[in-house]
Amino acid sequence: MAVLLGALAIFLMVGQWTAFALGIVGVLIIVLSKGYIGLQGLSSVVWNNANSYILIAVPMFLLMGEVILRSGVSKFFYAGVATLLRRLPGGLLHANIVSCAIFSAVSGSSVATAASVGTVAIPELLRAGYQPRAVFGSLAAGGTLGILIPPSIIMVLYAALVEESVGRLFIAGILPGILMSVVFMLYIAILLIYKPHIAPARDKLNLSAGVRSERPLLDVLPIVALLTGVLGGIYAGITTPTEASAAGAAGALVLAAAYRTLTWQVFRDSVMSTVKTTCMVAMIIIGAQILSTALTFSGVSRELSEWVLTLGLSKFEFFLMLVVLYVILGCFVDGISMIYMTLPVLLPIIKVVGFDLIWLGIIITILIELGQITPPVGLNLFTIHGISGGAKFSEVVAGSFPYVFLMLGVIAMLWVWPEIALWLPTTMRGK
Amino acid sequence: MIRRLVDRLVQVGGYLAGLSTVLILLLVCVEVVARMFNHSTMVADELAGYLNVGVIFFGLAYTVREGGFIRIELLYDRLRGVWLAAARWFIVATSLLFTLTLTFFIALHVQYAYVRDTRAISVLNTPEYIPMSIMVIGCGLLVLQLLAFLFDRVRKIP
Repeated sequence: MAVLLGALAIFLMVGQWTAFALGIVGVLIIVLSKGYIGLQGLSSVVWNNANSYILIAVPMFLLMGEVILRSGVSKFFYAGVATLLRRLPGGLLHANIVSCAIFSAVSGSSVATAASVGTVAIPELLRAGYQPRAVFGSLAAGGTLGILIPPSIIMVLYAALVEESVGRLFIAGILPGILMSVVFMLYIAILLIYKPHIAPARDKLNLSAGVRSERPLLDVLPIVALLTGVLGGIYAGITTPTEASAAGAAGALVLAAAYRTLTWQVFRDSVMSTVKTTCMVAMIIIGAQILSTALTFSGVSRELSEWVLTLGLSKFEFFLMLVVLYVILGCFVDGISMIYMTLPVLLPIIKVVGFDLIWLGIIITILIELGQITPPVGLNLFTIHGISGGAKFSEVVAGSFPYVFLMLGVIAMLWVWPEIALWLPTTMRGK
Repeated sequence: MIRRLVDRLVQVGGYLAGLSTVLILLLVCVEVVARMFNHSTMVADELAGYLNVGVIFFGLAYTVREGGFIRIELLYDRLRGVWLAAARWFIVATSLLFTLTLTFFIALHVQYAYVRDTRAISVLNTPEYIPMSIMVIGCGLLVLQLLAFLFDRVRKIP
């Protein structure tokens, strides 16, 4: 155990690529516990994780988001939402949340969501006189909706790991995703009552040509239609999540072509970017699975499970322990590594304690969202800082920090009312 | 000369991974459309799985070269001079050892699949060594890329 934690800490802190760090430590533990014979199982671990029909949804959902982002369709969409919502108090801050919520349904990733909406929104909101901190916070937090509102790459990976239905998990994410968006918007509304100076007065808000739409509904509808098609297909049992992902990617290409923004370069860049992210995700999974195999071989998994069980924690105490564990891990490690490092060890205990795995999937997804806006390592913080045009990182962090508590609030609501996540999947046709 | 050849090979690997992505898209879409007419290709699941192996392994070296892998930058970004160089040598050397280990054991597995003629339980009855060989090719490309980093004295690692 000490070797494991020490080696992992050294590799990660030195800056080894996360995927390789996990795999290298895994191989090290296997050699120490089983020697050469243990390594003979390596190939099967790699093959079984790469040759997976469920995980094909990952490149397809990534491609869908990439095409929408690179073809500029997301710009038309944001312009439509901004024009429709500009009259609300704090108009464009709400436009950020609504755009992120809807856009997240055509993109499986938080970073893609934050980058897509942020690239268009930041210059416009700063020009209009919004407080930078409020702008960055709404975008970094809004972007995290990308993994809670389906389709979600994290959910595909979680479902594959715990052997639950991806479709059910997707549908379970819809209501918590909407709830989270509403909570974010309520927070902005309340903030505006106490600090009206963070947004320009409604009558003084003039949208620039870049984000003003002459036909806002027409610019919003295509994306809404695409997400309805993708999620509707899964909900009605017409398509599997993998099929829906490919149909969604094809739909995104059709949309880009209809906007006359689908060029060879857009297509090539989208595909090659998809390749890079897919490789990164897949190698993290493979590395983490090697480590997980090593933990099983060395008996650490069993010892750890037995130790946790001897603590005699109640269901709620165990739940709190999970939340604290993931909040701390989320400050340092990315979401995929986090679940693939911990769940193989924790899953037996989780099953003994008796959590519903769909419900827990939603909780863990929110905790991963939270990890994306907690420093020092928060992917969405980095993304928004990167496109902020020279703002201080601390300003992005400060703007995002209140949303951490809002997310914890939603987790508390899901503990009290688990039906928020569990009701919709029970109404599905294709269970 | 050799350095340029490695660059080309890695780039070709990237393009093959891209092609695999597009083929998955086409294959799964054809399956969805076929099912609307109560037909099935019967092979989409299996072939798409193999193509996914192609996306991952053909694209592996390309992704490393292009800086697609994430790391914890907390300390790494603050390193300077000899410490940064030491960290980079450590990263590349340990990655190379890991990749060589993987390549060796995957190659053993492929050889076993070839000698025993193990086949997928599917309509195609595919000899498993064929799609599994993609993993060996991909790991081989990654070894070349990591050696290229060492050749450049690790100055060019992303």
